[in-house]
Amino acid sequence: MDDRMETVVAGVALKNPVITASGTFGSGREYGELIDLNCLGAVTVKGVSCEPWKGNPIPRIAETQSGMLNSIGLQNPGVEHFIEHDLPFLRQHDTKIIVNICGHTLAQYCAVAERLADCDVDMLELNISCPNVEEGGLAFGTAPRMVERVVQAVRHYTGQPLTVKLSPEVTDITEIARAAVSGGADALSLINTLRGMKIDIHRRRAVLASKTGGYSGPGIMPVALRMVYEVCKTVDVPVIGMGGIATFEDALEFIMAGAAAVAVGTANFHNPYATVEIIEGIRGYLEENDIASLDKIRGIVD
Amino acid sequence: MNTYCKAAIRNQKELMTGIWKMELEAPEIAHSARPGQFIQMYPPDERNLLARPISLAAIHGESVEVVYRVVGKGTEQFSRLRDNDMVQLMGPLGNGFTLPEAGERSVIIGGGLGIPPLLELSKRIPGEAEVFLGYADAPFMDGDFRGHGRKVHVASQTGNGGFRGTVLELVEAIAPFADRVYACGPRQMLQAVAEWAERQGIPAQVSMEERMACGIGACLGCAVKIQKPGEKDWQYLRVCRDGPVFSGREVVWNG
Repeated sequence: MDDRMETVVAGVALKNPVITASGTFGSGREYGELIDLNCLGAVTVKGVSCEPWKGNPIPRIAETQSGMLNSIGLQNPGVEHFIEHDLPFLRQHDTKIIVNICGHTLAQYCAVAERLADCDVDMLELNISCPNVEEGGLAFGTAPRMVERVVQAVRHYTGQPLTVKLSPEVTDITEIARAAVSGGADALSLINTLRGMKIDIHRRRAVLASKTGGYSGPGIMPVALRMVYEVCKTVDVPVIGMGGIATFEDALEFIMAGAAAVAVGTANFHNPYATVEIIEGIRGYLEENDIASLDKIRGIVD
Repeated sequence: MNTYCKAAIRNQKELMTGIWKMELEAPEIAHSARPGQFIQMYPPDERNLLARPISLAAIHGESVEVVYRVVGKGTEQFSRLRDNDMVQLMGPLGNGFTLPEAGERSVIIGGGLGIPPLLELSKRIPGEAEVFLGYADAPFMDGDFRGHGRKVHVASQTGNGGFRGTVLELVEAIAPFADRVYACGPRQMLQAVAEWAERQGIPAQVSMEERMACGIGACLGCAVKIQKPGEKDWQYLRVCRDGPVFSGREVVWNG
């Protein structure tokens, strides 16, 4: 254990600030064949709903310049499957478990939170920002009063530490952040993907079956960083920064903008060792610059 | 055992316009690969974030061979690599084909760029196997199948190489007797093959393709509709992890 890498998010002590971003890492099983999951600060699992969700039609993936679009539609086998199969697997590892939860209705969000309330997980991440589901997702995440209401409702059903994942598709991210905190969020995760599109000029139609999808990758990082910076200046709860992080330098930018921790998503597809390399890179930076803890540089940019 | 490694390129050459073959020196991959598996090849330009899934055409001692068509920015970059250049790979991935039982007769049906993924399978099938290859125009790699003693039938849209028509029309004309069918090619062709196999009452193994991100089963990008026997409804399975080879009768072709 390297003390200078430790960070605390919503009362949960992480051995280092590097987390996997929901939806890019499954429940860790597949990447666990390549990397040592024990070295991660936390694993955020793919969105879990109370019932199984089939997901969206194919094609679901499109590459863009320095980024990608996805429209998976939160396909998942449901919370019971997660508790039975994925949770025991993850628990064998020395890493924290953050469960991303999703729903089409307020009642569904509450049901999955309630089901997980007594389970051995470390934190819930409330996904009110997925651009790829018709009901729920973004519909809950873009109006401050709705955000406050859904967070409050879920809060009622769980005592687990709760982070709320925010969409960048809003006029003022700080307003949404304040609403989530006022609803009872212990932490905030931002940003989710931006809505994007790609057209195949030869077939003269959208590449994705659902026409539009969530845009992620290095291209969105400046937007994500700006929003993390603004939110960290506005609220007192810790922020998990994410959006296009691919290198340790990227991760340090988020920490200097005020993030308590960072999540790595699309970079996992490009390089399955991205998280490991980022952890080593941050450690190296702290050692070289003789920085005793992440607190010394967190939010250092005013 | 899946490995993420750099490989040296050997013997890259253009088989015909836009279709390239390269050998990749990747011992870890070559040692554990099976016919029908694929690798993820990462474009050298990092602005192309996603790896390209490419099936293995041949597995030698210390290297694997792939054949690909230049269709976009990623494959265009691969075609510009020269001998001794290094490329990032991950693999072998996917389930591959299940070989026939002793004494069984096989039919191998390939269309276009679906032909190379069948080559190593054809080499390793211990018993009798008849090969049907379909092309848009000029044939390629048909000699590789003949090279290990297979009887090869060629169809093309233009009649170049023999039969004019689809590969399935050729299969129907010849009506080979078989216990198993193996196929790789465009989705429409695979559907026709699966339906033909169903009419003959023989199992078909079809190798599918879909846009992919992670390649290892985490992102759920490369979905395919599968209905397992005895199950009430279809589900999306992963081409990369649960496939790319599926049972022809379990694929939900329409929809």
